[in-house]
Amino acid sequence: MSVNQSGGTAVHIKGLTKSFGSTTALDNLDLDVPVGQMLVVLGLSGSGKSTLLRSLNGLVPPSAGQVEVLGCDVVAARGKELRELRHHVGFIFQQFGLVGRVTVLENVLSGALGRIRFPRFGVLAYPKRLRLEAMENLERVGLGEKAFQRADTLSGGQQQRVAIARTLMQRPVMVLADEPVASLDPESSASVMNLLLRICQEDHLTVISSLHQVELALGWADRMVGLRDGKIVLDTPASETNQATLMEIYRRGVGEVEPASMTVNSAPKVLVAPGLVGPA
Amino acid sequence: MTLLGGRPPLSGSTDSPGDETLSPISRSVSPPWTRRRVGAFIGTLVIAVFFAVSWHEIGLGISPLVSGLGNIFRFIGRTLPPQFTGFAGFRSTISLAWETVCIAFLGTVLAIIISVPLAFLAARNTTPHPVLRWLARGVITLCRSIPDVIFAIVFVESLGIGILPGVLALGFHSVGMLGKLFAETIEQAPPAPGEAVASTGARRLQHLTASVVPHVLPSFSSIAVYRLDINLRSSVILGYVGAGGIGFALNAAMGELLFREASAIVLVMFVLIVLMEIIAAVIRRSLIGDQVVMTGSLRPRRNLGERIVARFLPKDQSPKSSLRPPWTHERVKRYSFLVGVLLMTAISLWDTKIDPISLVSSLNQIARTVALYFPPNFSLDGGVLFVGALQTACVALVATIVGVIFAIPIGLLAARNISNRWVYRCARVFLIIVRAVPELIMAIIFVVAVGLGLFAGTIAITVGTVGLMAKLIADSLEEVPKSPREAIASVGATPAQETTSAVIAPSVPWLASTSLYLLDVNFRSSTVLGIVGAGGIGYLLYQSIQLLVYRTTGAIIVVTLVVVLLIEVITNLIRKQLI
Repeated sequence: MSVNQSGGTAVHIKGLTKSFGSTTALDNLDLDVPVGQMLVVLGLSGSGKSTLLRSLNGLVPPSAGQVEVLGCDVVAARGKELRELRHHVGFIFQQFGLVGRVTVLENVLSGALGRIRFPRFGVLAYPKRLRLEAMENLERVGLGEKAFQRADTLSGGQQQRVAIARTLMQRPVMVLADEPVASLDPESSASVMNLLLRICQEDHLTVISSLHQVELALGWADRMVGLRDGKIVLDTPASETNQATLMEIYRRGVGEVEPASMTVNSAPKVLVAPGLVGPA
Repeated sequence: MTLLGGRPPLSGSTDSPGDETLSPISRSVSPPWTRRRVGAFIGTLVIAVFFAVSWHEIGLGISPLVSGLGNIFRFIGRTLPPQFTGFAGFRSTISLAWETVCIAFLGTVLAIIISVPLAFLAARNTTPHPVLRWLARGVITLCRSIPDVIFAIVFVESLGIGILPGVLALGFHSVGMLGKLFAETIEQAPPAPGEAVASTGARRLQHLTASVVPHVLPSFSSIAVYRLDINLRSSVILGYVGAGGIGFALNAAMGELLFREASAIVLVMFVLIVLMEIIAAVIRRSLIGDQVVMTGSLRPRRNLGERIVARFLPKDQSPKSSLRPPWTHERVKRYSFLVGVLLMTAISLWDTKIDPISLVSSLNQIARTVALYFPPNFSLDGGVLFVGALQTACVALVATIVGVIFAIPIGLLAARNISNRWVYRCARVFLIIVRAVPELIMAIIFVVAVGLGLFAGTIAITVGTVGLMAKLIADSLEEVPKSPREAIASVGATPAQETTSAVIAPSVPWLASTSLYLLDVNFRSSTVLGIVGAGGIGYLLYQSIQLLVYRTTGAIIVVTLVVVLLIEVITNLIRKQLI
């Protein structure tokens, strides 16, 4: 492990706090994630999952605390150092984050920007070596034939697969996924999630993903962490838990939230999770 | 503590499929030659050739510009300090400025009155008959193709020097833009409410008032305010050909070589235009603010208009059961806008002593004048007309391309979400200043600097293009979605790489389309600038008017019209392909 000297620890978080104005998104949070682990973060919308993931690659600067990712002090890192870290950490967004008006291949190629110099404009601005690699990654997610279509002509599931191919272009050591399938229908959710996980397993990547679908999570995660109001309320190996326990915790979470702090938006999303799990 | 030193072993280990399975990819990794791409390629090539030819024709160069700089400074030195006497006497300047505002305002009102029915006839979903639709569209296009100065020249010829020709010229020319944009807005009205209303058995006109009108009203007002802003800038120019307002005083002062008085007038114009831009921006935000989807900030930030309105509203807005609609912010805003417009119209009419009836009776005189120009006499020697039109087109092309090239970096600096906070503010202020100097004034300055001819006009229009285009670019970039930028930043891209990939690359079709639109606008501007000696067909036009050779003037107007229409048709065809 040349990338981290901290004894196989990919992520080390201590006392992480983040406030937006008067709202506290993360409250004095501690978390360690060993290399190669697949960790799922569960929790209601607004429980701090996104903020946690975003503080891991420096998209959200923390208010207080210590964040170390792959041996890099994220809080202190600036400029080149932070870019270097981001280059090794893939990030999958709920809204895909594709540039809609350019081609799929150019979107995938943009994943390589962290390791090449100069701004690039158009597919042909990238060297052929990278273009071949991008096409290969695109084939890997099963979208080779869409390479020269505009990204916004694809379906949601396809767009997320393109985003995965872009992440592969980074040759990441670790992948952070922020609700990667929350804006997809159940069928594409399953296929996108399976694709992402198969790739991460094949490439032995450390994965931290927030997820609503407990069933999906149980299928592959090594470890489950539950967040509520910016605090960890559950931390268990996946093998020692089952759907019922997790759902119980999920439900209890819903019940315990004071009505004042529960926004209208979060309610339907919670209802989706039991619905998906129900028939199993 | 740092990671690195080569690629991390995790993904680079031997069982990584990436390196092992690097089988030759069967698919091509170069973009295919689609029709679109071939078209873009050929189009770029053609424009490049035309650009080179035009550049040569105009005789552009850095050295005459540099040597002209001395002249500019000497000229500006002679205009300073501004002197508020004579033509720029304080009282007369203020009253002329007010007159200019009235002309712009009445012109816009006239244009609205003509445009609204025309737009309903021209919109696909509201027109009573296809023939009427094409007729209405023809009238709108015709109004747009005739530069306002040409309208003004004809009207001054028939009605004499004064305010009325200015109002009419602005009014008729504005129909071209207002009619087109109004009709497009009507066509965008969602059909669903209309169907719902129609299924209640409403009649056609009822259907219109109930479903289309509420949808289009806010956009109409916003477009009209935008046009008012444009018209104020134009009314400055119109005075130059005798159509009243402050431009008239400027022409007089320049004619007598009283440069310090002229600079005082320019200063007043500048203040007037800046004020108008600010007022227009505030009104437009208040009008359309509620339709804008909120992003980012937690609380909707109230704009100035809303804050003022809020002052006059009772705090408690609890719904009481009443059959009258409550005086909500929205309603107060709409009514104060309407009352403001009516009040301003009445004041302007009274103050300028324009009799609305005379608008109608003057049509007769105008028709008689127009008859003087027919049949057009095309027999200018040596194809002068053709060369003039070509020169004007060259000026427009070069000014557009050079202007856009300069506008891109400035636009990036002036976009709030891309540039640094202070740079953004400075860039915005810079743009307001550049935009507040009418192109005509620029042309006058550059004619002094580099002499009469195409070069001066080209620079003036280039500067104007930079001002407008940079503003359009900045406004459009501020709407670029945030999430792709965040995603590209997350792969470890530098800010420059991120901006190029997530902001500039997706904006290229828009940029091309908007540049073509500006080419269209610039051709008309370059016709206008010919009047102050900046060459091209406008120069011929002005000479022919001075010499009172009506039928030659008619020929020049016809040629101008044809070229304008041609450019409009071509640019529209290309723009349709782009978007």
